[in-house]
Amino acid sequence: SEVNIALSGTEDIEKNGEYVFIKAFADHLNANGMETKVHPSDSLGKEKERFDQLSQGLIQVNLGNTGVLFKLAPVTKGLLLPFMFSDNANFDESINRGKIIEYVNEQVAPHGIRLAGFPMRGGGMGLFNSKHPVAKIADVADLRLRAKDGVQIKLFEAWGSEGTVVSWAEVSNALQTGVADGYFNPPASALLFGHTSVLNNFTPLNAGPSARVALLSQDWYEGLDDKTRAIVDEAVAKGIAANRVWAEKWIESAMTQLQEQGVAITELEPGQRELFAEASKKIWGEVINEKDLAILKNAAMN
Amino acid sequence: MMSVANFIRKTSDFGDKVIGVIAMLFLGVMVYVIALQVVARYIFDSPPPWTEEAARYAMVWVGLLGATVSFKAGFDPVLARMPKSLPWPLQFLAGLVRWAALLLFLLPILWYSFFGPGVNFTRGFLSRNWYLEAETFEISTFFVAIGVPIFIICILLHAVAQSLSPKNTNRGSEENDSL
Amino acid sequence: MSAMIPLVFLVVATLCGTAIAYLVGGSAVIGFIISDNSNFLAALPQRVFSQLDVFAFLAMPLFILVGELMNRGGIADALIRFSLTILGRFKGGLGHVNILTSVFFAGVSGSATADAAALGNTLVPVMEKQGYHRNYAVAITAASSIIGPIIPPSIVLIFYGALMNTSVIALFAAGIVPGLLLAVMLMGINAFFAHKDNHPGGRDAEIPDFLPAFTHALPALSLPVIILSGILFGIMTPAEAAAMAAVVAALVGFLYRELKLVDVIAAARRTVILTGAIFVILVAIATFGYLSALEQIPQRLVASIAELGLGQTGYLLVVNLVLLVAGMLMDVKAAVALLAPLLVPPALLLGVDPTHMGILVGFNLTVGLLTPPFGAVLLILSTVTNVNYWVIVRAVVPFLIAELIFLGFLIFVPDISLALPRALGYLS
Ligand code: NA
Ligand code: NA
Repeated sequence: SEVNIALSGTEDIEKNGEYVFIKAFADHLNANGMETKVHPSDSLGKEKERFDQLSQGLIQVNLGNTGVLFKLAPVTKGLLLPFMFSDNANFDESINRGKIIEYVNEQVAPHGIRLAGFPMRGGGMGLFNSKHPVAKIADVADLRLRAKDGVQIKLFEAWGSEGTVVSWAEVSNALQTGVADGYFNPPASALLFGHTSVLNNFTPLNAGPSARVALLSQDWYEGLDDKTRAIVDEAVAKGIAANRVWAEKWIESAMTQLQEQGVAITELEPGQRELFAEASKKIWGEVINEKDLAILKNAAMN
Repeated sequence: MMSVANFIRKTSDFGDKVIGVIAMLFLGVMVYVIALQVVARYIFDSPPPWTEEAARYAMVWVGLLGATVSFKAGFDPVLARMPKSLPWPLQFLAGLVRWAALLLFLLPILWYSFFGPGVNFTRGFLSRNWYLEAETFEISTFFVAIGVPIFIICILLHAVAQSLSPKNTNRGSEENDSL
Repeated sequence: MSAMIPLVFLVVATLCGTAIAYLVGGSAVIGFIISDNSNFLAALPQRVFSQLDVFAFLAMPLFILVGELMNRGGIADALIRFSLTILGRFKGGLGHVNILTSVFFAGVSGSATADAAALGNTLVPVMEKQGYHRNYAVAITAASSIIGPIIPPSIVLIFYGALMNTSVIALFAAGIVPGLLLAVMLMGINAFFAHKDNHPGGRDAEIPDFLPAFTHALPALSLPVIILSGILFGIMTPAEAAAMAAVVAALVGFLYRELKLVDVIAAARRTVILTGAIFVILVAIATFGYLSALEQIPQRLVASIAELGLGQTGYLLVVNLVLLVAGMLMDVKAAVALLAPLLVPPALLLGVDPTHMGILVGFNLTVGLLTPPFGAVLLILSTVTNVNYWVIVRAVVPFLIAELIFLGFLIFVPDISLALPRALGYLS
């Protein structure tokens, strides 16, 4: 029977890192005689719905945000902590060292889920704003940044800035009307959602990669014979490898695209990243429990 | 002694009143929480992060409970109306078809609310939500998800009550012309 | 052949007087069973939940509540008297107001269905009280609810731009002229019907004195001010504006001494019923949507169009047909996400401008909301305004035909959309 693969984005091999993973993954399965069916564009439902279908074994592979794992495996709350990791390589290294995937799987397997890997969306977290270039932490003082939740509000306050919670659906409006002056997101967010017309300043912070999760149905994976399971494992490895190669190329082209669309890119002054990192660490304890934080810090050697 | 039919009718009527009040309370929560968001943003300068999600969950409750009140009131729009003058066997058959549609749509949702793969209760929709958390506050989404089976059970109860006393289905002042 | 079974059930259940929600939901479940997808029925409880747990819907129940409070609290009457002092001299004045409101309104909330529910419960009763036929008021509300998503800001166009790598600014600029033309055309039709059917207003109409009407309306006027300025200047999201408007409507109603606690409760009860009736329909349609996604029906449709080997005009006509149907069955944003990447690239190969294509896609999908039998705007207006569904369909037909003719013009005269972005230098 065919392997159903669901994702939120489109089947765009140029722009969508998740699809880059899926393409390499599915190609490997197909080459080994397995049939695949890709469901793009949230056609099977949004994050919670796709996750739910996976946990019941209705679909076999789902690419989701880390948020769907928060309750089952709280350590995942730490994966997007600002300045826990610097870039993709550092992230991969740390996850391996800390055996984080194995640790997560112990917790999620009873719920029918298996974490296979972390496809990246592209560039690292940085700061977009519509007012002025940001080269040092003091520059954010007069900005009101869009926060996705209460934790981000505290993060921005720790930087000496200010946050306002706006749901993603309302962000375009909020930026246009000045309800928010900017946001803390990877470059892909502004490029994909056309915010570059308003947000004309970007500062790369190298605050950590923008990781998504590739999840497998545990029922399905367990039910495979050893040989097929090995093929699936290889397919995951190929998918992740393709995603990382793409991510390197993509970040370069993203910077070019940003500039072409009139976004000024400002690098931080020396020593300023450390100040951002130091301030950000103050909120880590609010996001994640002590035990899991210790595990991640050890893994990241932070 | 109350007959079974009478008992079902009474339960349906009473349940409808209670559910209607609860739904209105959730509507009040929606208004309050969203108004709070505006006030907090412009007066206290610190919008609580949980308001939007709380409002959405209140809305899910309003929708699910409201759907049962709408059903009880005979408010759900239809595309064609059966002429009242049709002979009773036809009326009866039409009633069966309406029941079939209702059961086809609602029973799978009810079943899978409780049971997951392999008729496993611990992996049903409700149990799964027990392990999911709201995004901005620490409450399991179970407390919203439970609205789904409640919505179905109420509608089935009202439908039984209506079938038991078709003459009593005086759809009253709230009847929708489009019925 | 077996695909006929759900259709047959749909027709039979319709004739037996089954409510729309349950006949659509029931046939969808039959579809799951005969297409050998019955294991996927296990996803339905979550689908019900997720289908309702949508940010863009928040404004809908709240605006329904605002309308209920306005109608019961004397606010609607005050606003009518005031608007008569200005518009009373024009035949069909409130019809024009309805159209103009949509120009501002619909695109901001991103959901034409939410806007139809909001205006259906606020403006339609106002028009009716002033002497319009209810069916006409509903029809013009439906027809004009689709203007917003074409005139910027437009969430549909933002979505398209992001997906198809097309400049959102160019798209916005391209939407202005078609959107305004559409509004003008609808106002023309409104003026025509106003004279033909002798709508309220005109030279002989009794005009209330301006000053007393204005003073009386002052508290009531805070409502449109809150709603329009709040949304347009980004002070509030549509849902927030609606919640504030509900609070203010209650206060003003008490001030006019027309609203009592029992009225507030009655307003809340009706809001709950309307919301429930609308939501259960949306859930049922989403069940069908899930089946069609599983079976990849949209993708298969697109593949079979590709096989036809059509020229530019032929391709555009067929694509527009597909989009009309998709807009009828699917959420507009979901339809853009799923279909634009499939349907647009071949059009570009045939020489269609990507910006122009964006306007066509957006316009088409929203017109789909007016297309029977499952056009969501029609279903929602029928629920909200208590007008028989087919009566609404019949009343909308003249407008729908005009809009389709307009769409034809748009297809064949790309300059309607492209001239402005070119003049502004957004396109080469
Ligand atoms: Na608009
Ligand atoms: Na309108």
